[in-house]
Amino acid sequence: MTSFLATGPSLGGSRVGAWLAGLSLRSRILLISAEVVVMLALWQLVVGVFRWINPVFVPAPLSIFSGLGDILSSGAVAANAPASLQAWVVGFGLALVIAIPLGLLLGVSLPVDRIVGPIAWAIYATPSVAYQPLAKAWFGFGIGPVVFLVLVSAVFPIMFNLAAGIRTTNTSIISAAKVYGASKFRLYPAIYLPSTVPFLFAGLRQGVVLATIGMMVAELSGAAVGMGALIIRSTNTYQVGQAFAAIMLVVIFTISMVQVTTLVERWVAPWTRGAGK
Amino acid sequence: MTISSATGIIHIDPDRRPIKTSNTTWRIRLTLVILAFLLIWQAAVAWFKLIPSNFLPAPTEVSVAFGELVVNPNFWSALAFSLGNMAVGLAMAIGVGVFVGIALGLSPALRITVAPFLWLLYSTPKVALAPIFILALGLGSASKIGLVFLLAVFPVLLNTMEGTLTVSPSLVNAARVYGASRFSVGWKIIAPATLPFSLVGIQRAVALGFTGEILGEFLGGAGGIGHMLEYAAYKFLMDEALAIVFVMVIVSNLSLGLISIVRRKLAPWDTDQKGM
Amino acid sequence: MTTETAQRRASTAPLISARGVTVKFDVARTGKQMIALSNIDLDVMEGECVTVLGPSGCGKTTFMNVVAGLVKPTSGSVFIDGDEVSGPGPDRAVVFQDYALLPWRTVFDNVRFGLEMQKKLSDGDWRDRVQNAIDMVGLSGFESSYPRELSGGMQQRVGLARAFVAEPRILLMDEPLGAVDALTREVMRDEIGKLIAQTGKTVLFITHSIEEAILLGDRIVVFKSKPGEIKEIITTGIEGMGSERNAQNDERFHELREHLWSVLANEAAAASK
Repeated sequence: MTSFLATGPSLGGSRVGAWLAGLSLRSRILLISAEVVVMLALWQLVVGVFRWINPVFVPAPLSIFSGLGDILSSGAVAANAPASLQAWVVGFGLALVIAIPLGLLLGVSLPVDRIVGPIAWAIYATPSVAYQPLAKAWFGFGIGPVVFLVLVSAVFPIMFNLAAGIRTTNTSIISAAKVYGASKFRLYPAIYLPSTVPFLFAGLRQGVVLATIGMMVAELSGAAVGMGALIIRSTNTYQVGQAFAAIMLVVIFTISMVQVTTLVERWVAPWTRGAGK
Repeated sequence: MTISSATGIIHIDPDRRPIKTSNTTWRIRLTLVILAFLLIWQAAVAWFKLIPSNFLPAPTEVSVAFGELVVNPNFWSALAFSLGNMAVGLAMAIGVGVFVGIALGLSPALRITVAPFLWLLYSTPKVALAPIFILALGLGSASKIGLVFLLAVFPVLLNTMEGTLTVSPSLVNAARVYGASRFSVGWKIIAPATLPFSLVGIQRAVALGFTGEILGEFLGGAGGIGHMLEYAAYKFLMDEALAIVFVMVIVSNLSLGLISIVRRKLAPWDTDQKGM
Repeated sequence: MTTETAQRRASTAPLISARGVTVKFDVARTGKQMIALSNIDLDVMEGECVTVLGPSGCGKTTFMNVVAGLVKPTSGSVFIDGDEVSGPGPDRAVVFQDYALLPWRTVFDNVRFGLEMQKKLSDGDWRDRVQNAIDMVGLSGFESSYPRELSGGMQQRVGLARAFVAEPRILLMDEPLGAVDALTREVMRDEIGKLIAQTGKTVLFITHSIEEAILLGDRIVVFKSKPGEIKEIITTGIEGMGSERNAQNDERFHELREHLWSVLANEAAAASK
């Protein structure tokens, strides 16, 4: 998202552009923060005070805020968030267990790449929403279909990134390892695995975002509990402020999980620190 | 291993993959593996009854259901409904996404102004807004088109913006030195540089638009292939449900393949042909 | 180098001996075969520094890869001390043009890599050897930096230390200064020259720079642009190493430079036809 702060090409003649280009990163971030405050105030005025937009569809910031208070104090979050969290963690955990060995195999073995690869791509190309009714029929109305959709959504990006990492290992590093005496067998732990770590984490970040989408899809279309169920119920009772507050919590969860992934990456792979990603 | 030289890049089979097997051989093996998989599935369900067939029907049952589906006019009208909504939503998303994306790429002032909004919407799992779209736009096509547009517009817009930003100012300056007008800078420098990025965005947009359409149909209304799938699964007609999922796999892969071909035709200089 | 050592060398058998080395590649895109090296014969004596000069794409890097054991010749062989090369070995170390450092390892751990792979970490003094190599290339204080944090010149110093610490008999350098900026290039060229003189290693130094070829090579092997044959071999015959050679015998330096320049220019002209 840093591209919003990039300089970019200019067709010339923009004084504002020149002024912005001269700003430091910190001042740009400050500017954007100030702008967010102004925009929120405008939004409150347009929807909450003047009612130019029907607040049933787009609630004002303050009613989202009070909706947040409502779902927190009524125990709605306490009742629904653990179910979502559980399904997400189980599904993502299963995705890791499946994607990591399969991704390694896909990167290392040509037959697996040529046979499993196309099948996996065909399934991956189909949005996971298509599998939701099957999951519901197979696993009932509990946590099962949600876990399944989280798993199906997260497994492929992790797997394909890992495989790509192995296949794109720098050839001159491999040459160097051979020159300094690495046996074929040692090339895997010493060279291929570490060089694929940044790719694995890129895949994990994609997986986190897609897992949340899968979770939402599964919970929106027919789960009894979970944040998606809460969003549906709030919307159906015209408490859209509460629905937006629930969405906001999901957003916060996703962003935190992406951040956690990045922190783990910095800890596991300190050499990538600060690399443009 | 790859050896770079002035005469180009030479690929040599690395020694861990000594056997050079042609693409056709691999295609034959792939087909054989799929056939073997179907055979095991058939055996497990129909012959040895390891899995109850009302839970997972055998491939033969699914293919019979598929055969019934393709002669069923309701299926075709459902497919037409879904694809029609998707086409309208995607067309809007591409139009708006490319236009706004280029504008954002070219104007830092605009970029700074809308950045917080775009960032907010970008990080929201927008599928969560589906119930609100149904509430606001009703059970008909409008809510689905709206959802397709909402989900599809961001990848197009952001990718187009990224693409515009990759144009180096020195390239623009070079063009102006040779007397290019603003219009021809846009058409001859910025458009070709941006095109491959936009197409990658469109590829993602198609997948997300599909999600929007199908989810919209799950949540409300009585038309479309997603609704048909949900109804079949609800009535536990698993053979029909699997046949419809198969149709969806074909449709998704065909549309992605089509855009890949377009990418190769329109932007043959772009080396990365497999972005998702 | 004194005449005495040169005589001693002449009396011994060559350390590196290439006989009829031919390499053909299948070009994946066109399905045609490309001849990278054609029937190369070359002897390198112990303690000698041979520079290999030629335009890009002339096959000089392929030749080095054959000596390193990374590329198997289609026909012909390379012998090290009489034994035929069948793969990489601890007697040869390579310095790569793109450094080829492991990005996930610190400077110290990168330099250690060779010892680790050859299972020499049980030797009690390996830490000292690694540290000595790091000091020798002037990287003291950067032991725990990652390659990403170093400039190109410094990264190549790590590559040099990694090569020296493995204590090979032969150093193979593949345009080691090709990716380094011009100023660093000159400084490092002289330092490499000093290191070669100090350690007395046998060196095969691939370059496309005429100055590097003259200032570091005891002999200069000039490659034809196509199809990878040796055009001529010249003995430089100047004392010293690096830019002190220039000072030692300015006349010979200029003579060689003009000669090589015209040879390469003719080759380039022939190649573009």
